Amino acid sequence: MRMNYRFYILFIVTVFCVEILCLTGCAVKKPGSDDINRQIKVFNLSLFAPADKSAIEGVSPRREPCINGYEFYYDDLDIVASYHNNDSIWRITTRNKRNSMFGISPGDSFLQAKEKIMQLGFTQSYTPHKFAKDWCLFTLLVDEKNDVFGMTVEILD
Amino acid sequence: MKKYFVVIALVSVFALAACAGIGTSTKGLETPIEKASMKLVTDVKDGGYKLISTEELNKWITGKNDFLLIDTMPKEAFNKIRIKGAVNSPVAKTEKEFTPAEKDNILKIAGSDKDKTVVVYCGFTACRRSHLGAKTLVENGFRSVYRYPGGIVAWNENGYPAEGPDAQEK
Repeated sequence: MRMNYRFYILFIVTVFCVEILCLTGCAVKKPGSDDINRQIKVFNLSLFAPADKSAIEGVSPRREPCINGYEFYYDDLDIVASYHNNDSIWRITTRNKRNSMFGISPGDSFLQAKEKIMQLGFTQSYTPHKFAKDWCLFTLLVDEKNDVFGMTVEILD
Repeated sequence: MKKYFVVIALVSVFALAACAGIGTSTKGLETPIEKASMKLVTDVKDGGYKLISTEELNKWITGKNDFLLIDTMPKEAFNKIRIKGAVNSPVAKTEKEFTPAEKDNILKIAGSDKDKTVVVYCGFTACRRSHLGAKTLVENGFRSVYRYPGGIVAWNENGYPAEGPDAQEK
């Protein structure tokens, strides 16, 4: 009887721990994520952050489905936050000139932006405008004048 | 004690199911389906292309019809899974993010024969990458452009031939 009681206690504690790990594990940060997030200045958004439906500067998000979960479009601010089904941010896109990522802002020249991001240890990947470092993928949206008009930072699986 | 154990187990199952994403908008809830349908109808009118269903596209592929199949998902997604025989030409999700380089690339991949049949697809019905790709081709004189709205999600659900590490065998 005493053995059974101990078994139940142990089982419940184990289930509880696994539960906590699984639920919070959805948003487990990757190594260096704080450093990456410090360099993302897109209002209050950061990678791995939990879903937040509240308005940013008075702009409420419009929800759209995505292949990996869903996205919040803040149309008047030109920003998009993409969430996995576990409700944590895996991608941030901005075309807002008040924002910056890795010291790069919309309006900068592509060549300057490329130099900055490569100095931070990112390497060109997939296409001429994408740069990867470990788990982080950074994409520059470039116009016909070769200027940056937007950018995306995301977590690679 | 046993009751307590059962309650804990049930709570665990429900919480983990929620974490796994059961009940999300791409899984069949009516409101997002309606929203995607409305958008699809508007986009088709605006884009001037035709639509092709999963079954029809499979018939074209198994029947070895002569057409070009373009996957407009990002390269990293294409590398994970794509319809067998597709070529990749990434396209942005919205008009505002669609870059000149992406536009040039899809036209380059489509080639110079404007009578060639081209099928463009992306992730799923609400995804608009394939709309932007197909519309660009129509605007540039391609006369036989199809959009496959179900995309790689519908294709994979049906177990039709796909390539890449995420492709499921049926």
